[in-house]
Amino acid sequence: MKTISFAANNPEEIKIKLDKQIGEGFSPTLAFVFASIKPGIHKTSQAFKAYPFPVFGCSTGGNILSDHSENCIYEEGAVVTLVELNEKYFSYRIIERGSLSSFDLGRDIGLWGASEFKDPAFILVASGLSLDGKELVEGALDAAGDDTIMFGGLAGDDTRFEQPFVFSGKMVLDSGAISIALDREHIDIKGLATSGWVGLGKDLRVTSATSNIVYSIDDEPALEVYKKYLDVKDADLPAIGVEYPLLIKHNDTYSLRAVMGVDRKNKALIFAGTVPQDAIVTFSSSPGFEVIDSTKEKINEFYEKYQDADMLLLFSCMARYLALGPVITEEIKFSAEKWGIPVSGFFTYGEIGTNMGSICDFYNQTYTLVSLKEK
Amino acid sequence: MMGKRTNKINKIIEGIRSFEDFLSHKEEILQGVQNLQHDRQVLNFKFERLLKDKNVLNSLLKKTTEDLNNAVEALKTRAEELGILLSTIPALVYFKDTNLKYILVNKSFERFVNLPFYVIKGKMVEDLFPKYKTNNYSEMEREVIQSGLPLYNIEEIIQQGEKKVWLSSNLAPFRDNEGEIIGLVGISWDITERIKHENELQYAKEQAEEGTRAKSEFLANMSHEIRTPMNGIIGMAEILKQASLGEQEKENLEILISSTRSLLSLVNDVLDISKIEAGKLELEIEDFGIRKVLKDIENILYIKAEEKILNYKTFINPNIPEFLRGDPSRLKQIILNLVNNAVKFTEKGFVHIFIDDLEKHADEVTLMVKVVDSGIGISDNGKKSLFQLFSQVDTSTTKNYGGTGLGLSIAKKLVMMMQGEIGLESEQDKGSTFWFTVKLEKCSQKIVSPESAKKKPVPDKKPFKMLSILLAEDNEINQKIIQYSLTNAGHNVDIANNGQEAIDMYHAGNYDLVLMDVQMPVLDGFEATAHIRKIESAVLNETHPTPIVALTANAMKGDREKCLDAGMDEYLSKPFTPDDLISIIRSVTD
Ligand SMILES: Nc1ncnc2c1ncn2[C@@H]1O[C@H](COP(=O)(O)OP(=O)(O)OP(=O)(O)O)[C@@H](O)[C@H]1O
Ligand SMILES: [Mg+2]
Repeated sequence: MKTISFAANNPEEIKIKLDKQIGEGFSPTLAFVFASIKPGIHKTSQAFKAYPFPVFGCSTGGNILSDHSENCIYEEGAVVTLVELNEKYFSYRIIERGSLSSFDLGRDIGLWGASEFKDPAFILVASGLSLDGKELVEGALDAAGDDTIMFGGLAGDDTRFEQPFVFSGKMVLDSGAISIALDREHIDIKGLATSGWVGLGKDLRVTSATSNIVYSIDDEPALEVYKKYLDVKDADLPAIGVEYPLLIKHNDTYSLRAVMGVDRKNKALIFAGTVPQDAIVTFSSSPGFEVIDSTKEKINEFYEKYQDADMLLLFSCMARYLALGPVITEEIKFSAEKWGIPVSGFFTYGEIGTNMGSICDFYNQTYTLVSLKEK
Repeated sequence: MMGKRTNKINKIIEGIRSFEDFLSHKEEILQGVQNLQHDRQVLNFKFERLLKDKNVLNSLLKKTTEDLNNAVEALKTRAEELGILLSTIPALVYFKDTNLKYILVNKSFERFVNLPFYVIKGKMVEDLFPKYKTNNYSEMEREVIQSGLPLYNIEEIIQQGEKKVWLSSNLAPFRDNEGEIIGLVGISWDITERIKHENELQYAKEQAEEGTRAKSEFLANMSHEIRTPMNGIIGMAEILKQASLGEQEKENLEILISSTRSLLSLVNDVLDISKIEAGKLELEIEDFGIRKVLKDIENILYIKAEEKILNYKTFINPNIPEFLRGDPSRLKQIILNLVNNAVKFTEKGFVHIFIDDLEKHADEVTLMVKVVDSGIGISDNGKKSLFQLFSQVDTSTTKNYGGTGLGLSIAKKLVMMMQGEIGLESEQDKGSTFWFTVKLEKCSQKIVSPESAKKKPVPDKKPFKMLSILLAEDNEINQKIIQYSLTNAGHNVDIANNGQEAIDMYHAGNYDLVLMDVQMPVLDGFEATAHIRKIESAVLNETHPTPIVALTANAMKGDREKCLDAGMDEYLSKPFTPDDLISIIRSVTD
């Protein structure tokens, strides 16, 4: 497996750089494209129209490429990673969600992957602010098996929370998914997901919710609870709800749920993943800039186990970027320096991953790193 | 890092003084400025970020503190309320952990064991109550912890210091938020006073019962004492009637018989009262014809009414079924009492009896019986205590009309036993209406006249069999009367004066039948019967035992059973008529 990554400020520059690489003898079989919506997502999509290789593209909350250059975050334009990998080792699919539930969309992907390979692993992105990431993952695991490995994220839209996309060279979908199924007989895939967010304040009870829409917390409208507790204005949501997500308490674990949208009519909040009714939740926040130290520790641990990698992908939560600002480059660059290869990825509206071998899940606020290695 | 850079820059600035230096350090300077730029950005961000975090976190903190304060406040009020409740409640309240060690007790508890809480804490029940066998109690506490089920009303006496105290305790488990049992709460009440009261009450009740029992026993004995001679008088008079007498003598004899009968009825009333008070009067429920009962009453009273030229009439609603279930003789007694009074207290006019049904159910009727007369009536004052024992309207009543004032109170008690009510409407000089209701079951099937079914047909036409009879009876008059009746009927009678004589004579002779008085000197009827039965089975190896009929003045319930249990075949209650005697002899010898 060989990769070449570059950043480009606009679709024209993408084409120029693509042609240059191909001209120099690189023959990609797959492209990862993480793009801002600013130049127009259709234009970015069309930049790939002429090429035969499949495109795993999505709009983001910021594009990541950490290589030799000083900069590693690209808010304009796009980051492209071209991959040269035996076409038999992977399979590509783009699907429109249509009227499918989040769960069934996940099932669809899981079934497809399981029919492509005996032992598939998945990399996927999905778009749609109403999508329930948790159900998506559960649907996929339901179809492909509980121990299936999956990594990916939910597409962003430059923190506008209006319309994220997934796209190929031929298609742009504001409600759909792109998935790559990898044949684990030939590709090793490993990953890490770490958040470091901490719960704050007293326990609250979700008193009314369906799937990822929360209507009331402690019998008060969810929107009002957020405004009251965080002392913020109506307009600050949903963005503030990405930085201060709800922490759902389970028996001995917890999961974080970022706010993706607001149903102002019902004073309800739409989260990136399921928030079960009757769940006990608290607000949460990054513990400050020290969170980076804990991320680095986790990366070190991961590195000690899996030092060999052909390619690193990073799905980092939008909220980390908002909370850590320019300091976040430290944790991004840290991985690139460790392995000595570029890290490409994007700031997500939600991550899919597994933390070093545990069951795959849907997260928010995490630094989710994936390493791929051809066997 | 910052300090290092500043130093560097200072150094560079020094260097700027020389142009050469400036040229050679140009790149370095530019890089330094760029780094400074970046650092400023980071610092700016961190500052803004901290500001934002500060705001949000402050708000969160404020809200949380508020919430916490509210919760603490609420808890405090609850805790205070609970504390007040616990310290004022007059019961002993304690909490124990699962090892049955005290973890919290209230003031009453401290006072009770006379120890402060810090001493009680961590102790077990046996530490606090050394004089008390605690095994059982600890066992129950353990059971509550294990089963998770509460135990109520454990009543125990325990020794505390010098005094003994009765405690009633309730034990219940308590659980943590996960529902895990983490201890138990016990509440004990001092019930010593209550128990004392209960004991006193029990004692008083026993005393009262004992008193009533003694009284009713006395009455039963007395009635026996009275009945025996009366039996004699009536018997003798009946015998006398057989003889040819003059008109005057016949009349005197009638007066003798009738006054004896009314004396007997008084004895019966007293006996009834004593039975009712002893709770020994029980209704004997059977199928009976209501119209037959009314006819009987008419037969008894018609003559009296006729004498006074009263219009005596009975009106019965034809819808009332022919046969009902109840106690006919007691029902007859009630009506007879009322009608008797009506006839007694009416000089002219009428006595009318109305029987109607009030409520009809599928299997039950409520009868309303009204006895209406045109007699002297009763003043409002007189009505007050009419239904009480020995109560008459005024003392002159006994003088003018006789009676003892028992009739109505017996009637009332019987009516109540039949789930009915009794009452009256009356005005002085304007006649009286006495009424009562009774609940009676309907018969499931039509029966033939119960009287004819009960009584054996008079065996006139049957071939007569001469019997050899042994009569055991200590009372000379009774001996005479019975012997007279039996020899008159053609039987042979030998007389034994007590139980022992009866056994001896039975041994020696050969009798077809034994008539056995129950109360006899030397050996009573029960014992004598038992002996005779023993002789029969062991010595004579008899296959057909000789019939033995008990003669008794004890009209108390249970006598019949006692006689049959003692091995007798039948039972005849004194006083009896010669016909009664003849027919019972037939029934046991046929
Ligand atoms: N029909 C009636 N008319 C007027 N007075 C009556 C009538 N029935 C009862 N009384 C009054 O009620 C009193 C109580 O009646 P009760 O039947 O209890 O006693 P008694 O008839 O005097 O005596 P006993 O019935 O015991 O021989 C009578 O003495 C009489 O004063
Ligand atoms: Mg009377």
